[in-house]
Amino acid sequence: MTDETPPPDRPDAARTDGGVGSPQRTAEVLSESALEASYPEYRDQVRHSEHLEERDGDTVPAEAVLRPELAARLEYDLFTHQAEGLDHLADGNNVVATTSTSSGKTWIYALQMARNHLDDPDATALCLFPMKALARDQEEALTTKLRHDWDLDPFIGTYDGDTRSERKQRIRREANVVLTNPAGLNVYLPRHNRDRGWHRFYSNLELVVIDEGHEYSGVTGTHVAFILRRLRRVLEHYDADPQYVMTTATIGNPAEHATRLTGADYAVVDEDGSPRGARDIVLWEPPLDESAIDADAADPMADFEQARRSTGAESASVVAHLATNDVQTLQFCSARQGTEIAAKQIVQAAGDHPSDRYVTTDPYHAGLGKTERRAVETKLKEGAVDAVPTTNALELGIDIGSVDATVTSSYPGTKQSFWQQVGRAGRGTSDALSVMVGGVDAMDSYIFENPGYLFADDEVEDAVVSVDNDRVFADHLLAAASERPLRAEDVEFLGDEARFREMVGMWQAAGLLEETASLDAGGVTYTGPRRPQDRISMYGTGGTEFTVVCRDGDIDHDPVARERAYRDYHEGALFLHAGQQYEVVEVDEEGHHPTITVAETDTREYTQTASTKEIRDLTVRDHTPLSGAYDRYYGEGTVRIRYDNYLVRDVFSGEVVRGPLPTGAPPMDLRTELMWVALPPGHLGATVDRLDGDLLQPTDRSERDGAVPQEEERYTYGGGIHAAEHGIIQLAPLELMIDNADIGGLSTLSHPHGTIQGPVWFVHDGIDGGIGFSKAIYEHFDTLAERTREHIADCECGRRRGCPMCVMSEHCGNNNDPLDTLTGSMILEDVLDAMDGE
Amino acid sequence: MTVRPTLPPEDAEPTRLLALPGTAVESHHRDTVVAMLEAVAPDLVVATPPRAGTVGAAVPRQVGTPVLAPERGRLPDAVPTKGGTVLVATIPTTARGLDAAEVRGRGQRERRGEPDGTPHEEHRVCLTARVTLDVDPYAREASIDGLDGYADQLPDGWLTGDTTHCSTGLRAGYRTTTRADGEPVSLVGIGRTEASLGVGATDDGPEPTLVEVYPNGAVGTGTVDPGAFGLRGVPGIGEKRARTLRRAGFSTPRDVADAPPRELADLSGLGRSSATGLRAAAEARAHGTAVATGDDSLPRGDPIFVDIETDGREPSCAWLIGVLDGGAEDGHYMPFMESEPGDTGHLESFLHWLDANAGGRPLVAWYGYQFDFPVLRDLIQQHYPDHVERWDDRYQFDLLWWARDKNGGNVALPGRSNTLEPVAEGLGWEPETTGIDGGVVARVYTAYRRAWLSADEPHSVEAPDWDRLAAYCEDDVRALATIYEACEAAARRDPGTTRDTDSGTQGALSDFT
Ligand SMILES: [Zn+2]
Ligand SMILES: [Zn+2]
Repeated sequence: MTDETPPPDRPDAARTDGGVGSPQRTAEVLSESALEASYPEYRDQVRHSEHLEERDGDTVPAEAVLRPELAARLEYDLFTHQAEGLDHLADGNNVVATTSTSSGKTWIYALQMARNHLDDPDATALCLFPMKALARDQEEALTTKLRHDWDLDPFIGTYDGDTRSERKQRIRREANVVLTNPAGLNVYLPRHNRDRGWHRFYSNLELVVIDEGHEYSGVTGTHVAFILRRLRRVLEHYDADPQYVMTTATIGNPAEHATRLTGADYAVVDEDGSPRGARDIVLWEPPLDESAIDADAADPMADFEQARRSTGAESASVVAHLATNDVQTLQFCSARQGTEIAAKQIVQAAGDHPSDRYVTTDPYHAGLGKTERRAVETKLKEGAVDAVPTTNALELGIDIGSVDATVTSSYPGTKQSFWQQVGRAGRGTSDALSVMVGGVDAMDSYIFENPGYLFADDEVEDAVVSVDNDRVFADHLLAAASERPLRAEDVEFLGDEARFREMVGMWQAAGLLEETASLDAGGVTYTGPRRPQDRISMYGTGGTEFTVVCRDGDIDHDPVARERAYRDYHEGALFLHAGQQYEVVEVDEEGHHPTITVAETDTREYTQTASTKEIRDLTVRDHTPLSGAYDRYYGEGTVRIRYDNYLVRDVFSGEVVRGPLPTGAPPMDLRTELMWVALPPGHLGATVDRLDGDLLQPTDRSERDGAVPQEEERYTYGGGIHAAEHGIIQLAPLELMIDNADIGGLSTLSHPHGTIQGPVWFVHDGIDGGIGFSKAIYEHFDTLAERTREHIADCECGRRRGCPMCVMSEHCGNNNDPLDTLTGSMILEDVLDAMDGE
Repeated sequence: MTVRPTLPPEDAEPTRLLALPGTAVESHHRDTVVAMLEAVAPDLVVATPPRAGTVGAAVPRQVGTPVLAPERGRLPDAVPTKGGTVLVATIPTTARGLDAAEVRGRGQRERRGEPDGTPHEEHRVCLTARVTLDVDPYAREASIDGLDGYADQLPDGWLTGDTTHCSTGLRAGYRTTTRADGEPVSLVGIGRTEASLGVGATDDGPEPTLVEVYPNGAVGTGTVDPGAFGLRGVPGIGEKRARTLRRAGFSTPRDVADAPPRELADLSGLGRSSATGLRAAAEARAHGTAVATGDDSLPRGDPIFVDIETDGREPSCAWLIGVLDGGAEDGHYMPFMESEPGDTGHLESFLHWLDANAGGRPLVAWYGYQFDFPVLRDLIQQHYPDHVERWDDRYQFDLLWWARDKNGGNVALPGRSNTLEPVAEGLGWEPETTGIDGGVVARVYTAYRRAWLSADEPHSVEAPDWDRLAAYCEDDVRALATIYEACEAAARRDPGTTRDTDSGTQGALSDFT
């Protein structure tokens, strides 16, 4: 959306450049012959290339949709999806628009604002953006459209932590359109009845815009869903009944997502009428030196990564190759690699390139000052820089112009991120080119094996958001009560009824809501310390949250929830952030402000944290019996995780340099959501019989690991179920927009719970209270299991013990041991058969 | 079943306990703590966590306040107060199956010599660490823990009956009435809780809390900020400045108020404008007067003083709108009171009264811009939208904002907090009603409303003592008028000369040039 200033998406600006000569396709630079000729040591890294044909736009005359007064002010026709959205709004519906990036979704709400303004000059609109910078960009874009192009006079203002207080006051008093972010709304909402300006604004609210709605999933999504429910409740008090417009990247479940986020119903606009330029997409796989793989490596995962050219270095070579061929390139780096390092690698790679051309490069990231950022943007526009490595955090929002080509350094985790990055390429008369350099991950591997996944319109991830987390609900309930006393009818926004009443009762008994009051008789007031909203953190579910500070200077690091802190930020842990290595030197959980203190370091080491897990207190919430004695369950339970010790390993050899060393982290109990697959009691024996003696030998490491069975049959079967568990978690993001670093698993040959008669594997949310991830996996289990089975069986590694591209995981607490892809495939096959028979 | 809160008997003398956390003692200068103890003058201090062990040493002998430490010792400890009519006793966690005479005896033996056969006390306050709150958002339950074990420790009949139970395992200010054996048990928090209160808890450590226990079981609680006493009680003097001043021999607000201005400015590196402000504030504090510090004038026209009573700090109604037309002493007080829960006729009457009487006159409220005015506006918008425009046009004046904030402040006022009654009391005003505050009033009303709205026969529901509640509101508007008049008087005086008359030095403002 934001890359529509300047508007590339108008019909007349459509890329119908065919007539003027025949420009060279940018992709020629990566043709087999060009690479053979000039790419240093080309080893057939191009695994797939796809040419996407240009597509014309479908338009509707503006007069067909808009009143003449407004239509006359438009210079162009409307795309069909814009017209459809506006028609729905005219009919009184809410709209979720899920057409492609830069298809002009903004126009739907901008024109609705114009219509509302013409009907009533006092009408107001509230727009929520996931990032501050995005709100500012849109303030400019909306001002241009509404005030300049369409000659209307609404007052449009961005209202957030960066807005000066005099400006804020003016916006409250006068603004027709307020742009902010959900975290801002969370803290501004309680002022609704203490300020005449807000009072006016909410009373006249006709439109609520939720831009980039797919950004709100996981923990943040849960908070946003409650903030929006609180907003709706306050609006009801003002008799305001605004319409909602949500824009999202292409997701599989737009209506469901929009409804979960807001509690309202939506009409879906997903038929894209915008034109599209032609583009080439190339999948590029870093070369692997198979002879370097050591079957008995101390750390099999690190060993594999050593044998493969690093994704970052390989990306730099590709960028250098493009840049030396006059193809201006934007490289999207991973957070670990960092843009500064990438810039150095590009210069180095250009030096190694036979063309011997000097390549200019400037890194671009959020840490840069405004002036520095503008300078890079200008250089990009003027062609004064050949290559710009940027963080993928900047893939959305900020307008950094377009380039000839993009290079994506490992799959960004979602299709929408990928396409957003790709969308940056393409300008002038040459075609756009985008390269994805594969990372060491099961998802990357799956996509390289099945490139169709990227291009198929019907394979889109579902956005996952949940309002089931009771701890988050409890916090927002206090916030809501402090905004207006709670009443029985609030169940409309804060339902379900039983949960609402029980939670109100809990807070009354705890003295934070008035104990003598009643929901049914006069309402329940808030009696706790002022402004509970201010203490809501969008990063966690209400547990301890650590601030990361650097002993030697600044570090721009998001707060870390306890769940991740214990695993990745215990004392002595090493981690990479923006290309810099850090060591955790102190963890202080005692004070009022829990802090993780880190120091910059530069070692050839990394750390690996071992964990043990117990799962207790299971409560079944849903059950899908399969045929045979196979069962799938979804429910809640307590996961006790101990991150007791860690190993320090050498980056190159994977050998243990020190350790195991104690982490000092106490055991952690997560009360969370889980799904589990229970297998029949005799499944181990039956599977081992089919293996016919082809069993794995326990490793030396596993002998020291009390959690691993040493008996060969059990060891091998354990490896299979462990592989199935890993595989499903690792590929889940292909189906669901979830961060698999926030999912955990446990596979075991037996478990005392009554639902479990034989072996079992669990998938659990790694966040206290749950954020809907396991539930989504439970609901999408068929597709996930099928895809995982296929992928495990087909992995190029062909190794029983697997590789990082199939079943190994960097988050494994057992050093990826045991893993058995063969048994894992058999187990998945049996489960899939049992599902067919269900 | 919720127990409706009781009001204390009129003119009753409460037993006053100051729950004092060790950390609060540690983070303030000894002089500040002593000044607090002298000003608050509790009957006794209860040492509470965190670091309860450090409290005893911080209460100097000359202050003479007994200290009880419920988390310490193996045997109960007791202090009889109010001429022996109230017994305050600790019930240490280790004590078992106590006998009433034994507990009473502890108090007698240790402090009053041998038991003398005095009759039993009328009311008891028992202090424990055992009773705690557990909150489980996943089970959606909050429960009181430890009550059974505690009950086993207590002498027979002490759990219910005429006893109030205070626990350091409950957060200060928390109050609930639970039931044991069908009888109500009144629990009061005086410490801190380990319960997960989510965003309902702040990061701040516990504050000293004054608990007032009345013989009929009514309880009032309020936090006490040590930083409001002694030198620290002068707005503008933080711990750092206080240290500088103490080193130079200034140990009370009076010392600062009486200091030659130049000396003050030089001394603390304040610069003259802050020294002037500081001195005015110290003077207000030390002498219980209002001291002009700015140039803004009060509104023209005879003020109308307004104060509302609601169902909470984030209210849904203003069931009582108290109006004072005229001066603090002789003004006419009009309570516009709801006729029954949910009715808003009184609001309309108030608006009509304004139409008839308020033309051109300022409506004055304390903290009004943050509370009374927007709350009233919200209600007018909801119920009488035709009046909104006229309401918006009225001259609404927040006296606290004018005195403290407008253009850097216009009048320095005494009082150990910025709330209405302490400020007026600092000026020498005395309330007619006692034992009630805004929170209690809101609770009493809310409980009544609930009973009324849920009852089949609403009119059979026992009503609160409306006259007393209206009298409380009258106190507030008269306190407000008192402050207003003091501000007027201060503004009439030449700011430069007031200081001189008090300090006996020459020049004041010109001294700094
Ligand atoms: Zn593999
Ligand atoms: Zn694992």
